[in-house]
Amino acid sequence: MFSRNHLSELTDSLTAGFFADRAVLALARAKKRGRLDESERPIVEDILEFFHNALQGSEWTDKPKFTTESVASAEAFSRALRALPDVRSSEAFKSYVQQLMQIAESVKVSDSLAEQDVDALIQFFTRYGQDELQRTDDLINPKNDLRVPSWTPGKAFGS
Amino acid sequence: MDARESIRLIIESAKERCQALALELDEAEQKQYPSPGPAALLRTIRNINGFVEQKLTNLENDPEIFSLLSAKQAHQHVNRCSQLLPYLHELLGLLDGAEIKHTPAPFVPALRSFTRRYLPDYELLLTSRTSLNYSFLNIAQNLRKLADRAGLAEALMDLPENFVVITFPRAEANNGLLHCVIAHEIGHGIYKKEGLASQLLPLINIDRDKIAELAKVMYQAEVSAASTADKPSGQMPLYPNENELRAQIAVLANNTVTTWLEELGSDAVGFAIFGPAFFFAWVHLVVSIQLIENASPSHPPNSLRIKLLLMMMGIFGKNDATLDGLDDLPDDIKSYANNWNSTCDPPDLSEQFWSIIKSPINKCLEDIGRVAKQVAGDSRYVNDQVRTIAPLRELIIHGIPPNEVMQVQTKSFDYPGMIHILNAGWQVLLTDMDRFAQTFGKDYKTSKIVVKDMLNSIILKAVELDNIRRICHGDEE
Repeated sequence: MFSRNHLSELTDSLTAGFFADRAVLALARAKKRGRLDESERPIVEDILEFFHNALQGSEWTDKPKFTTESVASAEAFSRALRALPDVRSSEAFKSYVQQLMQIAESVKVSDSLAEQDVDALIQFFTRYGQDELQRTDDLINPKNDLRVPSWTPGKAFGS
Repeated sequence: MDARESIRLIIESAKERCQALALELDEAEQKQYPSPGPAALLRTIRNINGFVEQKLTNLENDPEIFSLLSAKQAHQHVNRCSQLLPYLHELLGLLDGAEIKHTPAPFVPALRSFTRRYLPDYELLLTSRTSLNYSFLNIAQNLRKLADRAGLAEALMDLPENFVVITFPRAEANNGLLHCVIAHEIGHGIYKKEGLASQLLPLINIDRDKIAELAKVMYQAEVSAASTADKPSGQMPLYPNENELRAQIAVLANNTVTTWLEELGSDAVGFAIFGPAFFFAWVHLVVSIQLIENASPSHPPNSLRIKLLLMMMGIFGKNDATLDGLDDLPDDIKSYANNWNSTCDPPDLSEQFWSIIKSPINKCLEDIGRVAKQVAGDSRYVNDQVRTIAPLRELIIHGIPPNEVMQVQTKSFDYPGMIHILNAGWQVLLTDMDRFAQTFGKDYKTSKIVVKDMLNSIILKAVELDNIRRICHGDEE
């Protein structure tokens, strides 16, 4: 009743982390084979949905509207950003994510994948997975959450 | 040490943790619990544990891990799998305080039956904690998403579709009247089940100018924090670029509005089905441990919550959110509720950061109450003061569990049900304790704790007897 649930956050972090790992493995297999196996199509659909949500989230402050999807979009944006630490402007973010989306679309349909392109996706999800691994570790072994502003009035998320 | 050797050691050590957990599960299965929920959870944890151990073995012998992935990626895979182990321990920790000796065992079956009337496919685990708080957690839905991603969906075959853990304070285990706060927790389940977020979120309007205002407040506060003497030297602002600030605002605003609406919606639904008993229990709990103005990203300020509940009680005048029959509440009960008016109206909008979010939500309180009433439907509380509550109060005052009332003229019995029992109990607690104490030859002023314990015993007995009658008559499972 009075505190946000630690177990929910831990479950969410692990779920995101496993998603990243499955993405990396599926893309690595596709890169080696030169094409995507049918059994791995669902994970690429999930990758596309993630990028779509991240783009929606990046635009939220321009058109703020609260829906049951806007939370997921905001979280996807935040996670994508953490996997792209060198991307600083909103235009650069949109451009980079759209590029990754195009690569994911081509992974879905192409019979001869360009290794360099698939590598860009693999690197993204490796960084995503690494960031989430750290977040899960922080939840399991709590320290000060440096991501939440120290001045935030009231209790911070996860505390 | 090369990558393969270090991974092999991680796997070997993690498998030992799996084996230790299996032994702990054996011990947990020997304990006595008052409902079937704990056994289902234990089986699920055991299944997941088995899957994790098998997955680790598979990783150890998987040629793909090293042929396809870099050392760093391979480590990530293995570490992620091993992170499931502390997670399983947290799940097991949910059972601390769930045994018969730590719960109000007569109350648990009644509460389980009552909850399943609104949430029929929900299994309930009621567990006490050494913290002065109540909480609600549906672990099944999120666990299913995790299991799907982690490739262990089969391990959840013993987990009910919805599995809810409700915690309550161990020190108040036998305080049946305070347990009316659980109405809020049931409200959470109904809020999610009925998808109330989709009805309420669109009502909240924060325009772009307000978002810009929020950004300014956040950025100025961060710059100020970075430059104060108390901070470690060299602390950089948290938002080095535009994207970071956008992300923080989007996440903070969306999570705050969503969770505030869920908390308020759960309050409203809880009130709609439990009636004033929920309000009385809630304020009794809250004022003892919290500030009235205590907004946080996860919970709205108590002042907003009080205002919503008073609105549903009709204290600000009747509206679409007000429950029926509350006009007939005795004057001293109405006066008690009215005393809370000044804590919440007008709303405190002095803190700029929260006022941006508080203001639009404050405008929607009547809508929240109205939606909650609709969702409660025929099950919503109707205060039948004269025919039902007044006779129950008299029974309680005379030390008789109020689970049945004889109608002298017809020589038949009326069975008021748990909610009316609890509401009558609260009315006695607020206004009739002197008379109640006299029944037992006590002076309330000098024996408050003892007399309150007696009241709670009578109420818990009535709730237990009511549930037994329902089971015998086939009304409940």
